[in-house]
Amino acid sequence: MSEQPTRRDVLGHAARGAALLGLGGLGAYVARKGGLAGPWQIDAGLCINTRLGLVGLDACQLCATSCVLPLSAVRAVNDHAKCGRCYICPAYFDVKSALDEHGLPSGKLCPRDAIIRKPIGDIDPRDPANNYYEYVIDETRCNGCGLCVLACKEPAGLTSLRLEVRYNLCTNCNRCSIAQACPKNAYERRPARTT
Amino acid sequence: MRSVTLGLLVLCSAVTLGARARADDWPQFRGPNRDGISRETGLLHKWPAGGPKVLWTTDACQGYAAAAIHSGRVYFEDYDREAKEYLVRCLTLADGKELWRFKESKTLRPNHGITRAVPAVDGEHVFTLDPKCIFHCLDAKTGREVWRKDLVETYKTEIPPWYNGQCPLIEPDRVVIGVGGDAVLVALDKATGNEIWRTPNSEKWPLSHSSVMPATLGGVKQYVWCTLFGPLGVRAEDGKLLWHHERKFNVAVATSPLPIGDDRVFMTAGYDAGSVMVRVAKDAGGEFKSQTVFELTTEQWNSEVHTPILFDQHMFAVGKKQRGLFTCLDLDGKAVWTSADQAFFGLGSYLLADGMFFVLEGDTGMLRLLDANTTAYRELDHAQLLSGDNVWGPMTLSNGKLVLRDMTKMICIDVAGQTTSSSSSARGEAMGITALRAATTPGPTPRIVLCSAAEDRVPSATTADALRMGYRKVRSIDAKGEGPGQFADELRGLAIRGDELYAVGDSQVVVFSLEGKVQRTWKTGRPGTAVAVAPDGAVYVGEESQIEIFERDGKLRDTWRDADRFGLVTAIGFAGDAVLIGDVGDRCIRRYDKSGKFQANIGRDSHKRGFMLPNRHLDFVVDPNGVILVANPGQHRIERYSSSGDLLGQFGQFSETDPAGFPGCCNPTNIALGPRGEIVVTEKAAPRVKVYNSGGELRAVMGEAGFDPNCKNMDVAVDARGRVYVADTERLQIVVFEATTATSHSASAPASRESQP
Repeated sequence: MSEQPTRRDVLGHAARGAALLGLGGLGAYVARKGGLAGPWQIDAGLCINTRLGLVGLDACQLCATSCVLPLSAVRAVNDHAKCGRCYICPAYFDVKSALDEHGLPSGKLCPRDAIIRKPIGDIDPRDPANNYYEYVIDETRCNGCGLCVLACKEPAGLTSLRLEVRYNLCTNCNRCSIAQACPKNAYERRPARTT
Repeated sequence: MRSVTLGLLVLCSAVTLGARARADDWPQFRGPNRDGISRETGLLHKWPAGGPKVLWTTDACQGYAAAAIHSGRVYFEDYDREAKEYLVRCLTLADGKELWRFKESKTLRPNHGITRAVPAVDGEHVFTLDPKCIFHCLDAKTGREVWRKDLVETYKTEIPPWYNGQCPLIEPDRVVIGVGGDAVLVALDKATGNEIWRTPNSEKWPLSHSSVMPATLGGVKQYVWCTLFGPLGVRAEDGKLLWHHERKFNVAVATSPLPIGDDRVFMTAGYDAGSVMVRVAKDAGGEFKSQTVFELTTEQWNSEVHTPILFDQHMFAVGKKQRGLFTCLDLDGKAVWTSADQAFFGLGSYLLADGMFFVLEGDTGMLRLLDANTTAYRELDHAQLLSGDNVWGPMTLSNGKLVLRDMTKMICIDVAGQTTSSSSSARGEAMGITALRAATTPGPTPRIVLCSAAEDRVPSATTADALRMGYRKVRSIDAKGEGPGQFADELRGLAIRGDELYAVGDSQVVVFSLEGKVQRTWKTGRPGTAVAVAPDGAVYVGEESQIEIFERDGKLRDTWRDADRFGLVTAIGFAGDAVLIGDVGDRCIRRYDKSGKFQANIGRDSHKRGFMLPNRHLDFVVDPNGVILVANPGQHRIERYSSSGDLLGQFGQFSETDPAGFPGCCNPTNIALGPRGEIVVTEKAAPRVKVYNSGGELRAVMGEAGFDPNCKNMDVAVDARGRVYVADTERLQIVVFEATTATSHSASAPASRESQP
């Protein structure tokens, strides 16, 4: 048998609710004043995998290995407007692997097989090596290791690949462990941009 | 009388021949001997004022297909994207007039360029292997097709990725090409196309972009070639495969084998394949065998696109490392010298003539003339002749005329000084660029002259001279503090109008007299990051995500917000009726009209899709002609754009040692213009101010150790007398420098950062 709430109970609940709201607002204010506004983002211009221009160097894989999540919140992103859509994409294929009878590398670069390759547009069956190919990141597999970003360099690559933090996955830690590890300080909090 | 006339004719001929010592055709890929060397002499070792004269320009589709030149005619392959027609074009070398064009309907999609191959010409026929691997023999006089061979149908050739890049080898009676599919190489009768021999392809090696090279190895004339599976040699007489050096190459082989004598062949390629020197010799049984003499990893040395040139028992080529260093290698593969700290050539091409290397910067289109020697990198001259990146097409030289191309055009320049120089403006029009040209007088320091078309030659100066020409510090305007007209935390932007100095930082604008006395102040909505004064006197303040526009007295006139286009505004300028906004967020300059309506982006079309701004700061200045000079710190250069966004030219390069270069990760950071067109820039890391003349020659360095070492992105402005005002971003001072007599200026011309009254 429940008792009817008293006037005192109602006022007490209201006061506690107001206090919680106030604390939340104060927290948000402090966070903003403390420079914590905005989600973590990667400045692609600073990312070492984007900047390194030499084939043969090792990729920095700290985005994949430093995140507190089991599968990092960082993903590779392919800018399709920039992508060369090549037959032999050095970010997709392990170009050092053995060649098949068509001269295509038999191995893939991505250790998690997270890039999907498919022909697009008009297909010229007489010339399959010059059809366009679309390279899409399978975000359920990608862990943001950056191997493909490092490989997408001229002359075959056009630097169309970059790493991004996925907001829906990122837990937005105050002290992001990847930011702590990043050798180029490419991580920073910035207001989310729509473009 | 008749004999006198004849004698005069002979004398005239002799004089003419004496002046033009020797001329050659360039009938095929890498020249008459397929070695990248022209035997012409009498070429200019120093170019005239404004650089070599541009004789003609013709549009070309995107690609790298270079010309072959025979008997005063230029032949090259091209593509008409609108009509979807593959073209072979024939122009006169003298004036670029088109004599004929061969057309064939063909659908070719851009795939890192479209055309790649160089025709071979014997005066009677033109041979081209088109992007889809159809081999054409054309009448050299008319362009009529004489015969053709479809390699896909005939040999089951697989067209390589990025289309065909192979250039046919022409011999007295035959033409030799690699085909892949059913045959490795084939020799075809020039007149009929009938097969003379074929090399069976039991291993099914695919067609590569490599071109066949003639060589004599082990006393036997051979044709050497390279596939993804390694270099090989076949007997020229019958096409028998004599040897194959098994070595895996990756993705594509664009270079060709280089025979260097002593039965050795050097092969280099990209995509981590490195380089290898192979010795080919007969064994006891008389069979040819190959063995590795040495190998080079990619970290040691390789070339990705172009084949080295053998000269004076050394190999010369643009290496892949460090953005393309031109390198002299000995025949053991050791680098004797490189262009490090002096020039970076990307994947640019090169040729050798008259003791000089002509080398193109693949990322910029700058042509550099180098002394061919085995002791040191020595530059003789340079000129900005082409533009854009991917300037990778080979060059061609014949009769003192150099034909070269970028992704949109082919040009012919006079490198023998046979014709009188034109004005820079005329040449600029011909090239579609405003003159960006080489200095005119000799000097040991690499120099670039950047002039407006109307400008006359500028005086040259060596770095040592430049450093003697000084500026002296005349005062500091101390603006740090909590009081009125002082900055507590940040001093970000400067601008000058008339006798007033505008400064922004924190959330205020402070207007000083040029002597440093505070005139007035007002608040801004957000911390100011840039300031500029419009021709009508309005004060534009850049802030995060918005622009505030004030009247001269500080009354707010308008606020522009563009959520999609204003990230962080760090520079503002005016070009005619346009307002230019430097947006760090998207690394470009936004052009708006006076009402705040967006018009276009500038700088987004670059290879990097924007300016390279690791320091998160973008600065530019507009000259009185409306040309925009942008500091592109990640690329270590100053770039010039038209107000419509066309890249007009650039100067500057990375250097930690040469004061004329830009050091560190990202410099220069800020830029201003003086009344005589001098370009004033600031640098961070070791904060300093440098002054270049309008041509890009360093004239002065100041402030080293004079600023707080933590300063970065120090804004700079110049008044009508040429005095330089620099924001010390740590001490929150404005430091004022005045030119000494060597570079002092009259007060007759307005400063560019200062708006016109």
